[in-house]
Amino acid sequence: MFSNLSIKRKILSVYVIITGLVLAFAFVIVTGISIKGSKENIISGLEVLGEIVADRCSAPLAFSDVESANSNLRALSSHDAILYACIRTSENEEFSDYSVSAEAMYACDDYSLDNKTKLEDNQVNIYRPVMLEGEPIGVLQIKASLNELTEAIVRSVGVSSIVFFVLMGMAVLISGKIMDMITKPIMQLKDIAQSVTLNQDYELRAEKSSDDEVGVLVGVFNNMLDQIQLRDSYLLEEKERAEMSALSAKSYASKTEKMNLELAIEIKERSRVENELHNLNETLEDKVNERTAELKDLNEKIGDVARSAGMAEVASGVLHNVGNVLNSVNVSASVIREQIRKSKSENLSRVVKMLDDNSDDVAAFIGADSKGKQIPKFLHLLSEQLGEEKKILFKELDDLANSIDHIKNVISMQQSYAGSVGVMEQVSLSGLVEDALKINFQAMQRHGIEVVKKFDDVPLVYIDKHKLLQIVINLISNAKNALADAEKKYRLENKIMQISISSDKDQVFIEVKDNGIGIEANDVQHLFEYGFKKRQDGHGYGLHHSAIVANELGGKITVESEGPGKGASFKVIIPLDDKSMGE
Amino acid sequence: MMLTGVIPGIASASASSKEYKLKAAYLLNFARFVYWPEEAFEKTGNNFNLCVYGESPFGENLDKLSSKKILKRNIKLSYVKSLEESSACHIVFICSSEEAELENLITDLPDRIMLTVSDIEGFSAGGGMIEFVRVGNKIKFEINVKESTKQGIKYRSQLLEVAEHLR
Repeated sequence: MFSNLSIKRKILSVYVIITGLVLAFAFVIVTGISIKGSKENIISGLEVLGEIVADRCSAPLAFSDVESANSNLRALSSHDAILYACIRTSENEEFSDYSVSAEAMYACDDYSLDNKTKLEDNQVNIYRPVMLEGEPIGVLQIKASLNELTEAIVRSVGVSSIVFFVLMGMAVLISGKIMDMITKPIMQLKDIAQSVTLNQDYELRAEKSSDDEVGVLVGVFNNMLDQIQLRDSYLLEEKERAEMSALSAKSYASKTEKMNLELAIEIKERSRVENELHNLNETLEDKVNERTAELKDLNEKIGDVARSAGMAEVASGVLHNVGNVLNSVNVSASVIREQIRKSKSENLSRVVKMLDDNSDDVAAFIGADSKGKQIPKFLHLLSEQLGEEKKILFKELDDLANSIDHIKNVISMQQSYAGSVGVMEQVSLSGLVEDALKINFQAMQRHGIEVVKKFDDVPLVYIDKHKLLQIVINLISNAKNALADAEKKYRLENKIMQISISSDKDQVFIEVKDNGIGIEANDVQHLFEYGFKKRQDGHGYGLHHSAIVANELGGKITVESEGPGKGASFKVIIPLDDKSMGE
Repeated sequence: MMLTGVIPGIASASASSKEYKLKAAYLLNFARFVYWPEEAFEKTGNNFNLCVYGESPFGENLDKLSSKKILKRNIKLSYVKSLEESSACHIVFICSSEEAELENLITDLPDRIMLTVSDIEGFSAGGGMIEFVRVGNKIKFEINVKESTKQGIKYRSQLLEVAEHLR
């Protein structure tokens, strides 16, 4: 009920209820006080009157003047409320009395000084002593009606009620006016809001008439309308644009229809062409198959070439080594030839000739001839020299024999590897690495490279050992070159190549690490590309081939370098399979 | 209605006694309705001198009352035979025995504040102050306000109101 009332009515109701309560409370209090006051006034008025009359009656009582006393009591008739009055002497004799009407029978109470004022029902009895020189000589009793009080109460309540309703009316009128002032902006706001909602007219604005909360509300509302209007206009624009789009889409649709027709014709035409093309394709496909077969052949050939290249790598290493050893052989042969050429054995011939010439008397010749005397000494020297020569020649011959032995070893080793091409077998990695080192031994020695070997115990690996050897030789060769280049470029003295063999649960590692020329970061990613080469005399497919081979073996090669001059590390990673076994 | 102070028309001994009992009470009450100036008691101390001049008709009525007090003073009752004796009296009741000498008496009274009361007829008209009169069967009194004022006696209005006649 209440919740459905308008704000104005709600506020007004609250206002009226509160005002009513306050007024009612005030009137109850005021009326109460007023009634109490009236009662006290009436009684005290009667009491004063009693005092006066009692005083006036002292002489009549003192001189037994009943007429005077009666006259005094009659004077009370001027007071409407007084019903009866009487005087009793101190001897309790009724001296004088007065009654407002002859019919009414009232009794004069017995003489007593204890009574002062007694209220009973709607009457009050007032007792006042008649004093003569401080001594009571009688008592005046006045009996008065309190109807006046009742009337006063009725009057007071009546007036209060009238005032209450008048004030309430005024309060309602005034608060209605004030309420209008307060609610008018809210009502206007409501009307505007309704109008906006009904008519979708977002151009309307509420009028701001104050800076209070309602004013703020109006401001916020207007602000909201601004935003809505803005969005509305934006939406309208969008709508127009959409309509335009729809129109153009429609025209496009008709155009498209037209085009579709054309397309249908074209498709027909194309379909015909396509058939022709299909026929052509079939022949083309044949040709492609042909070419594919050719390419396959070619690929296989390229594979063979790569394999040959790998073998060539080994062969080249072997040849290089053999070449070097042959060089030593050559040197040894030259030394021997020179030694023989320079041999003092000629001198022995001269001595022999000298002795032949003097064969007739050899003793005299040796004993007397000046030259002959020199012969024993000469022979002694010669024998010493020939001994020396013999020593040198033996040494050279030993070297020669060693070199030839080495050549034999290398070749036989190469043969052993060459024979194993394509054969899978259990391979000891340490043996394989040692063999690779042997092949490069001469070159290492020549460049003064210190080889550090760190071989862990690793399982035998089931692998094509020739392929793995190709990779290791290539890596060792590269490391050697890197160290040789570093010597040239950085005057590197302490050239170290470290070769490690290690393993973990699933794979084995062969790492070739050098402290040589190093690799630039940019080059690392290109290292394994075909034709990539940093050395003038490189052929550019060493690492490429190694990578392919490693892949064929199911492994891979990784590289690490901290940069130019900081060395490099190549690691061959080969997975362990079921056929590999612990040593 | 009951009335006090009703006296039978025929003077009998008891009636007379009752009359003078009333008059004795009145005599004392008169004193209570008079404004006595302080000088009236300058020479009398704490006593209120009540004098009866002549042959007293009160019997013992006055003596009975003499134990009371007037204006918080003790009542001193004196029966005087000469004016000299009455020099200190506040109230002098001149008995009817002195009716013949009344005129002289009044003129010869001592020059002091003194209330003169008598039931001799024509007393108030003859220069006395309060005269008891009989109205019907009631005892009333007349007051010569003029003479009283001349002698320095002022009455309370209540007394004047109950007086039968004022002159």
